[in-house]
Amino acid sequence: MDDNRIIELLFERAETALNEVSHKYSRLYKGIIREVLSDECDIDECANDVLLAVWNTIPPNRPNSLTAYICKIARRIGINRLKYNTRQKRNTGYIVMLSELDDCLPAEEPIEDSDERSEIIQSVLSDFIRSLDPETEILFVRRYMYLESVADLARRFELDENRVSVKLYRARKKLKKMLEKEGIKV
Amino acid sequence: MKNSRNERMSEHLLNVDEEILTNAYDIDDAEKLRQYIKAKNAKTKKPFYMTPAFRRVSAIAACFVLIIGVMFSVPGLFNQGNNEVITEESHNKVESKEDHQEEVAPPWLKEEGEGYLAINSIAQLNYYAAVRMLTEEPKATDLITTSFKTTGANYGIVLLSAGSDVDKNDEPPIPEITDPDVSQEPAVTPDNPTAPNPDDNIHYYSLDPNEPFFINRVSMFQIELTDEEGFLASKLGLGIVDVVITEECIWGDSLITFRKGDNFYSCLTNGVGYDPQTGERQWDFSTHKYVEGFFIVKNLAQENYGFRIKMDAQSQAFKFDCYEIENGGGRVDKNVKVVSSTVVSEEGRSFTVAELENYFNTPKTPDENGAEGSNVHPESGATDTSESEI
Repeated sequence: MDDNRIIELLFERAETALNEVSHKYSRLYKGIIREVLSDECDIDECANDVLLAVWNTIPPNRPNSLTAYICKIARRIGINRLKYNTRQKRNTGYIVMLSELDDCLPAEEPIEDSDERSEIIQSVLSDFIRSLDPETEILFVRRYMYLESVADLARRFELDENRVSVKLYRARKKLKKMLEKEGIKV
Repeated sequence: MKNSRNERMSEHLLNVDEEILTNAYDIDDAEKLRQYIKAKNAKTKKPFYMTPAFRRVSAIAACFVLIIGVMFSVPGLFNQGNNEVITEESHNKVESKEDHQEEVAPPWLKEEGEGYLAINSIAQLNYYAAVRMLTEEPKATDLITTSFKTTGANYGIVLLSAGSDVDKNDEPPIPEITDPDVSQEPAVTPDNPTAPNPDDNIHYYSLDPNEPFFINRVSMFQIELTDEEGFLASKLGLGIVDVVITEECIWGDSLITFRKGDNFYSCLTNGVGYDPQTGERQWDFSTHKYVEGFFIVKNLAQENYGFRIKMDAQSQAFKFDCYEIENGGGRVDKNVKVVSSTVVSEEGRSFTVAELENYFNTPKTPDENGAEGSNVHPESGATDTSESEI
């Protein structure tokens, strides 16, 4: 079903809307949550929380891209659960992904976020991603937004794992240089 | 879990243009990726004379013409000779300083309450024991700046050095390398699940994770891996790597542990050398005795590599070489550079797994740290450049 139609169903408060969301996007949000959490019970609970969050926030929200919207909700719910739990296995995909982002961070003191600053940073980041070669662009977005592991990316796109790692490493370095050049502080 | 810079970066990345997110989600197999690459390249196709390849060829041709022109216009130029020998060390040293001056990164500290440290191997045990020892020594923690760069680890240490001033240009004579001592290898004990079999090439020796692990004299520095074909790179990934050497801790052998992020690799000494005249030391480690969980595995049949570390009289590591030992895998890590100073603790201490896990998983407060002297927690005040990081 088309995303716009799903959003219309949500606005009409039709119960079938959540079935459609689940049918179309369960693989997306469960996949993201699975990269953050390791316990299957937690994953299932969070998956239900995602559907509930979609139901509760649309309306009033009318996202331009349902894919991106659900992705963000799933990440936030997964991360909140990770924070809530007192003990997690160390090697969750999210932790590993976050640690990789150290390569991107300019050597600056962090400053308080404001909406305007955030918009500027996001605009710079969007430009950065568009400046990447197409293969690196897709790998970078799927790794750091959709939390897909290096091994899964390699399998999905029939690439060598080492090649994927190297491309991501170079992209992170490039991002760091770009942020430093722009004087962006995170 | 505090909102670290990494998390903020992650959130910023998530809020880029939705078109980018949607596009990446839709391209979910190799064929679609190929089509996307083709389409994007076609959009950005430039005239042949503006392509990078043409520019490269033109630049090479221009350089060639220039060189030929100089050769013919200045007779005898290449006959004068130059007695100055640029050694690898001096080249590397200059390159290192230039390259890494702008790469100095602020220290990062363990995030309070983030994740949980579970020690599942001798490699991790060795590493975290070393970190604990170093961060509890005021002198070591006073070195909190960086020639140590962030390594992307969840539990790291803040180490600082302005760089060693020791002149590395003179290659010292290679001290005597001792042969590996196999006479002390443990006999079969109730703890060893596998009896060494003279006919097998693989032997397993276990360590009891509940027993105290003793480490004697810790050295820690950083290297940079840039060779994507290399053995260490295949284990750890490319980039900055922490290196810890602890002496005589596994049945008389010393242990080296490499760590990048959540990747660890550890193996034992193959030989040690010392030059009494210069005070320099040379460590040789070999992958044929490596760590797997709480086992030491000895495998002579696999492709094996050696790691040679040279340290000057001030215990500063200045050279790191990788070389092939046997069974020719060809995956020698090339151009590995030492990119930090070396922090040393002369102490010998023992730790258990439970003790270290408890230590690193307990949030620290300034009052707690006052008694201990130094800690990696941001509120400890150990450094005025400290900040919360993952």
